[in-house]
Formats: sequence, structure tokens, C-alpha cells
Amino acid sequence: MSQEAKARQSDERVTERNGFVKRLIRCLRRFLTWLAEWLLPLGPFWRWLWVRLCSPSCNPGAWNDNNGIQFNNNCYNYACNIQPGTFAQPGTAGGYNTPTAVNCDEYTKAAKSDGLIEVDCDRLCPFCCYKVALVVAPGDDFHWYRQENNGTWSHKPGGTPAVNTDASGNPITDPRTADRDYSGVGGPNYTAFCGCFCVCSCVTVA
Amino acid sequence: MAYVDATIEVTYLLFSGRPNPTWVMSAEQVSRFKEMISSLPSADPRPLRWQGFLIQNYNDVADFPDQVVVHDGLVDITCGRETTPHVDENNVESWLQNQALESPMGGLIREILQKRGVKV
Repeated sequence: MSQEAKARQSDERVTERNGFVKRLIRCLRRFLTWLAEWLLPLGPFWRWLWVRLCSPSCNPGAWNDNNGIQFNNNCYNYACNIQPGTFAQPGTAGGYNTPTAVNCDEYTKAAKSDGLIEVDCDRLCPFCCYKVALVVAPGDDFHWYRQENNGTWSHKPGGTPAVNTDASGNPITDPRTADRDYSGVGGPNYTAFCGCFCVCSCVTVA
Repeated sequence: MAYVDATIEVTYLLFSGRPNPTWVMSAEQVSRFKEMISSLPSADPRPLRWQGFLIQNYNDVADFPDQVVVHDGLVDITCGRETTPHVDENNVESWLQNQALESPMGGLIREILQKRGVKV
């Protein structure tokens, strides 16, 4: 067998092994989630512990610098906890065309192409993934919220600072019921709640 | 000189997710802007709530602040690490809004503002 063929065979083996490890991790995560949701009592403590372990901590100081980080990272960057320094658009990293229409359907498809996993808002995310929520002001703008490790939610409206309160100034316990109407301060009214998603390590944004 | 002046970029802070409209100030606009913000009285700081204008000096244009944020009746001027809020006595915000409406993205801006019930 030629050197080239041997090298190719070795590369194939490495790729196969990496694929196996990835599949194994995915299976393990699914198993842990299943275990958490069905076998163990899904009491408030268990839910709290799960969120505590997997969700990012609220650290507005890392985003609110009144400068490059704050003004050049949007709600999607904040939700995915990545600071690329541009207003990342759902779908760009995943190869889905940037949505032309501002509606739930388009942005849901785009987010899923970036690796976000759609989930029932009342269910847990796979182990060591955390929950984010997508809302839309139809024809105007989209917006994201993310769950913190204390169970509440926070968000970063565009270039404004990251906060853990809604449009009325109340802490966000559930983005479905939070006040999302910013028309009083010249902003959009995010009337459409599109759904919840899980952000895992495989998510990429651009 | 025209090249140096062309690096003052204005961003209309309008969206949370979608890319915000941006445009570059002309040399005349830069001079007028410098005049308008030169002698404003100081004010108490207030956080940016939603809409505003971000003016960035990308290329160290001489005699121009590093960053200016115009919002909610305030003009926040940043030089180095220090930001000082001023009262928008010269209506810089509406002057910038007119510029936005005349910019290449004016059509989109007008449509969005009308959708939000903002008078344009």
C-alpha cells in the first residue's frame, strides 16, 4: 500500500473516531436529560440545580463597557454568550440565508441552522446547554432573552446595556409573560413569542 | 483632509437584533457637528434606553472626541476613558435624525419609525 493510501486510511480512522466520540457525547447528554426529566423527581430543587449547573451567570460588566463591546454586540451575541464584535445574524454561520422577512418562522429556521435546538419552554435543555427565547416584532426586529443560572432571564437590547428587567422594569421570570413593548421609548413591540431554544457548545454565530 | 473626515461614522441605534443603519458624515457635517457639541452644559448621566445615535471616531480624527452617544436629550462625549454627559441644547438628536432620513437607508428608517408610531 502506498504512503498516500496509508495516510488517507489513517485520516479516515481519525474522522471515524471523532464522529464516534461526538455521537457518544450526544447520547450521554440525551440520557442525562431523560434521566433528569423522567426518572428523578422533577421538583423545584432538581430544576434549580440543572439550571444552576448549565446556564451562564449574569455578568453585565462583561458586556456593558459603554464602548466597543456594548455597542458592537447585539441580543443574539448575548444570548449565545459570544462576543464577535458584530451584530450577528441568525443563520449566517449555519449557511442559512439571512431572513428577508422579520417573522418567527424565518428566524426559527435560521437559528436552528446555527445549531440552536428548539425546546418546549417548560422542559429542560440537554445537560450543560442553557435556554434562550426568541421574540419578534413582525416586520420590524427580532430579539433574544437568555436564562441565567439563578433561573431568571436577562437580555441585551441592541447597543444598550445588558439588563435583567423587562420593558416595565420588572425582573424577568418568564419571557413569555414579560413586558416586551418598547414603543414607549421609540423601540419595537415584540408581540410574537416564537419559542425557546437550547444553546450548546456547538452553536456558532456570525 | 476629506479622507480623514470621512472616518466619522454615525450609527442609528434602532434595532436589537438587525444591523443598525450607518452612514459616514461629510466634511461639512463633521464641522457642523463639532460646533454643535462644543459648548454644551453638563448634565446628570442617564442610561441609554433604546433609540440613540452613536458617533465613532475610527481614525483618530484630530479635535474630535473618541465617541459621542446622543440619546434621550443627552450628548455623552467620550474622550479616552472618560465620558461626560451634556444637555442637548442644540437639538443634535433631531439634526442627526434628519441626516438619517436623508441617508441611503432613509426609506427603511422612515418605515420603521412610522411602524413604531414615531413622528417623522
